[in-house]
Amino acid sequence: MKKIYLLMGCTLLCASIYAQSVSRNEDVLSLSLGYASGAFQDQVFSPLTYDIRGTAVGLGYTKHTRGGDQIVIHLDFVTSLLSSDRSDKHDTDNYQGILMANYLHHLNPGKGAWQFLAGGGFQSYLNASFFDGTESIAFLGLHAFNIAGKVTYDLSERHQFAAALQIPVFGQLVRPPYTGWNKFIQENEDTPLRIFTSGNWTSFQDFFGLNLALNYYYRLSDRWRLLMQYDTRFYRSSTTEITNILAANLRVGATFNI
Amino acid sequence: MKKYYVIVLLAVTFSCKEVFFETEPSNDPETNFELFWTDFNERYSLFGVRGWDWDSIYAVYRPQVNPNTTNQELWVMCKAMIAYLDDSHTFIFSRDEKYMIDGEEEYFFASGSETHDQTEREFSIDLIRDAYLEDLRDLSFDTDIYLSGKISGENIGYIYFDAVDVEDDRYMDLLLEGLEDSDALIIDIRQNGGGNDIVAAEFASRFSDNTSLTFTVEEKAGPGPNDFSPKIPFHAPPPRGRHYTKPIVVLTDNFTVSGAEIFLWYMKSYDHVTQIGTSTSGDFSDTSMRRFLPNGWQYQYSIMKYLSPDGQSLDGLGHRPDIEIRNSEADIAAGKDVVLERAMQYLEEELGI
Repeated sequence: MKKIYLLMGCTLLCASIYAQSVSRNEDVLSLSLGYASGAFQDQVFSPLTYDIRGTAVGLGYTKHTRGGDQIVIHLDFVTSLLSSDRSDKHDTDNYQGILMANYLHHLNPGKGAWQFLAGGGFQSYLNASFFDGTESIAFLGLHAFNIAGKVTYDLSERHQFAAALQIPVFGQLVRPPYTGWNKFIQENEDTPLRIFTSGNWTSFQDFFGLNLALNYYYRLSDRWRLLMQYDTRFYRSSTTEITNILAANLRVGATFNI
Repeated sequence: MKKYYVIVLLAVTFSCKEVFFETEPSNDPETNFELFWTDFNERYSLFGVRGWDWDSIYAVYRPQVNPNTTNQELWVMCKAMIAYLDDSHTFIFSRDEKYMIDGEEEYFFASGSETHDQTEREFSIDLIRDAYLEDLRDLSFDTDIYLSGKISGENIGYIYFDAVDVEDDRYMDLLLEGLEDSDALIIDIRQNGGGNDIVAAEFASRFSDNTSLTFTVEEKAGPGPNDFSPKIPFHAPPPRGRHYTKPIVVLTDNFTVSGAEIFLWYMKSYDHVTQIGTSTSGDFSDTSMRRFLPNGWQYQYSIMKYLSPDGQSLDGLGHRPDIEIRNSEADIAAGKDVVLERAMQYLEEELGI
């Protein structure tokens, strides 16, 4: 297990070092804020299906290489309330966080309107729900290597459209035990990081995940662009019991060329 | 054209819900009953060790449920179903509605609690505090009582606590402060609602004289009746902190529950400990996370199986005392705690203290 963590660390470190060695002119920071919605179902936690309503915040950093490749690091956090149509007494706090680091190779360098990039990286996704403090807890963690792709289309000099997709292929899946609670969780309740990184290494037989973001950019100046984003995220696992988490977030933000 | 892309995208997104999500159960009496019964059937841990026949409960109550069953009628049935389990770690409550049962409003029911009110009347910490103790130190916090002192006129220490749930693992060191020179110690865990097994081990470590295997724990790990995790062994903790190995009497009653019983289990593995009082509650398992029904009810139940090293379960039986004695309400009214007095008599007659 430690070797795999070491490998992940090296991957991220190499990406970071490589990022610092290339052109600094086109590095981009982005910040977005918006409305989070979706649906939540975890049969370890409850037989009910819950609606997700909350707030999404995203922070991104993109480094462009001379050859047009991109290193994209993105951190996303959603805080929301899970509510059931069946009863308003089961409302539950839900938190989602995802960190993605991807290296994308530019497939068609040039001046065309369409740009295609493909590559991969690593993502760490965590979804945790807390009912009435800790009376009931649900969680899904997936720390996985993923494949990634991105398409951009310059509609005009000021307008750009981009779509980015990540699909995790192999990673560590963390799920609660069958009854939702065990001695391991009890003994480590003060060190949740230990709980959220304790899982099995697996692949599509145990999970499916998808992150899709659609971005529209409006250039305000040489450095600033307005961002409108619709992103959807779907995670499914049948480990322990079936869980489905669907997120659909609509947000606005800005990007800044460093 | 662009707006059509957006519509298609939204449709694709939310079709995930239609395709992948399980159908949500409806809120009707039969569905609520089925979910409730099935959840216990698949996740409750003590059917085997307690010898309960959950199928027989289904056979009795399922025919009584129909689409016209009211929530109040269903409440009465679900109460009876969990009352059958006689397990104080199992309860049900309604956050939406209150029900009139025998002329009283009801929204909460805990199984295995029928004798608790009576047991409560057979104990008074105020009586002990006023009539039996000196050099009292009150280390209580929030609603939990933690007392330490000496039996009046004797060189016998006395510690009382009604929960096993403190943030500071060294709390027992504070309770033992000033009692190191006593000839014996009475630890009173009557009316103790339990708490945290880790704290129970930490408390017991102050009295440790061995680290023998005390019990094993198995967790329900699947829907089948024998689907349990591998046994996790728990040994009596080694000595830690302020250490006391002189004679100890632990006082118990029928409301010595859960974490308090785990503490006692460790204590009973030490040679210098004697239990006096009545059998404990016999509720060892950790409880499940809160469970949810479509009609707004919530409930919890036992999810583990604690076994002694020889494979026996004490669930439903509790720890049997070495010397059995029980207060009556009249004793308390007369200002006497005969259980505590029996402990003092034992220390004097059997151990010359």
